[in-house]
Amino acid sequence: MIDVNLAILATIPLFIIGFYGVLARRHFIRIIISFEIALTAVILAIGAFATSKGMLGEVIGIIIIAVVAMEVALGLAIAIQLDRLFQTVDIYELRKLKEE
Amino acid sequence: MLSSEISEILNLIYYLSPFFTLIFGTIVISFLIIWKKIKIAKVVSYISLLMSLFFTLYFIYNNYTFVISNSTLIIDKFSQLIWLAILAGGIVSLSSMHEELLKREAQPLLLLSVASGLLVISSRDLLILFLSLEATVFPTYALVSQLKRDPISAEATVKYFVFGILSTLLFGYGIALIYGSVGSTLFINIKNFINSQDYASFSNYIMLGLILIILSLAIKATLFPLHVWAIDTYQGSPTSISAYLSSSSKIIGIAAIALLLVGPFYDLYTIFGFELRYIMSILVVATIILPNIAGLVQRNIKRLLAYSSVAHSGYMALVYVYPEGTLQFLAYYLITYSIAKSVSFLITNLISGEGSYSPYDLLRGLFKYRRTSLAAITFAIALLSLAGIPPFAGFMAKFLIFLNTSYMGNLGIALALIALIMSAVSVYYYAYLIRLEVLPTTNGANINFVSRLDSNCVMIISILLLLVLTFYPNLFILPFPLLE
Repeated sequence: MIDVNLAILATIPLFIIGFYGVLARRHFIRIIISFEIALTAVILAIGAFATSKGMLGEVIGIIIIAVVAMEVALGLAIAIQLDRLFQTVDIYELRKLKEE
Repeated sequence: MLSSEISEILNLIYYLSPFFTLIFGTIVISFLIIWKKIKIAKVVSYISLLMSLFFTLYFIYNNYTFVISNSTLIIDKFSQLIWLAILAGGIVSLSSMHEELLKREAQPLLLLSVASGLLVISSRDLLILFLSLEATVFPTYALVSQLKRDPISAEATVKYFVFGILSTLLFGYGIALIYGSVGSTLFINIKNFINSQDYASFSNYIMLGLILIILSLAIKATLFPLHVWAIDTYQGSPTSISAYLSSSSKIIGIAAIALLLVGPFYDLYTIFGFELRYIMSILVVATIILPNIAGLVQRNIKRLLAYSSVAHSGYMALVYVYPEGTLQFLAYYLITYSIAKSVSFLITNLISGEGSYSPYDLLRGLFKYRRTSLAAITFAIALLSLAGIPPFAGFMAKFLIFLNTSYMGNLGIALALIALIMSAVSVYYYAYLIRLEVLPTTNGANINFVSRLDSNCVMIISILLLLVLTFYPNLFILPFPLLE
């Protein structure tokens, strides 16, 4: 049995770190990695709740892992396309190149 | 034993027939495109979209309600009416696709996105809602990045993707919080939990979870602080995909928020009513005012249509403030908006092509030539309907929502007044576009205009619908409240 408060206290810092990373990083691959960090917090929280609330939580966790995998694969595809077009995956550089 | 299982599966296929026709169509079209039968593939996608529309109309006509697998999916009047709006956006978007998109994987991806959009609206479980929402978003990432050589399109893709993953994150943590406090993701269980005694000790988590989920859906619905991706993405993505994003994809977000607010979380309006209504009205006011002001200075048709679509999501979001009086008219608004907005993108696509280059000057002299006159008339009618000028359906939709908001006390009157004033401001930029159509051409305009049979049919049908639907808002009254 894990208390809800404890699980949320443990995972919210991880979630905020990942969320900040998605908003603030310039490198596209780093954005994707930050996204993975934040979703790890989600999966951990749901896994912690599953110990007291029943099996459904584990199912949700596995489904979210699958969603993360798909989204990361799409992100990497977009990164490859960016690299072909601009020879960089830095988002700020991308804006400069667009204006030229 | 076996026969009962088979009949169960057949029943499921019958209940979800609008969904399964689209999925079946997607599979067939994928093979047809591999074999380079593009004309046949387009016919098949039209047939599957129209079949889906036909099944939906059949369900509405017979007042059917289906409950699937422990009420995780319920196909009732609410879902069926909003399916109409989603399918209308899908059909218009398909009719506006140019050859360069048709010969690639755009058609099956569009159908897949529409199909899972249907599931979003009929889901009555947070997990199913999350999954089907992701399934609508994944194909659109690929659709937005179809123009591979265009730097503006690449920027649009990056913005759309980053906001998409933010939306996934917020929704994920929202589900975690609500599951952690309720112990289930079914809407009925959440509703019962909010009414039970245990609610007091978990109220903060449920409120935080609801806010995270609404923020996540607000990214799709382009409500104010989270609309920033929409302008660049609608401009940079292929125009037929902008039509889809600004009609169906946005409608899915708007309707999903309405589904949550009047479904499982409706009792929060009695507990936190004051705070909830104020937060929502700030969101609505910002979403109505800012894009309408910004629209006044635009010089690019696609950007202007993007700003106007953000403003319209503000008008739609008025129903979140007082759902008890206005939610009934949401489906009518969504259907008229979907037709008018996607058709205006269709004509932009015929004039300027799929790229992001669409200055105002391309509209000049559209009324003058015979081959472009139908497009000119349709564009004018769609814009007048979006502005809310009386003979067209957009007027009746805006009228019903503003009027019923103003019946709801002082806050309602203030909101309705702001919405009314700002939609009067928006008439300026719509009228500016219509005026440009009458002006004489500078040399060489309308050379690139494409005239196709299917887009002409869609234009004529949409003119008729925008005129006729004005007199029948009663056909599209949503049920309220949702979970009984």
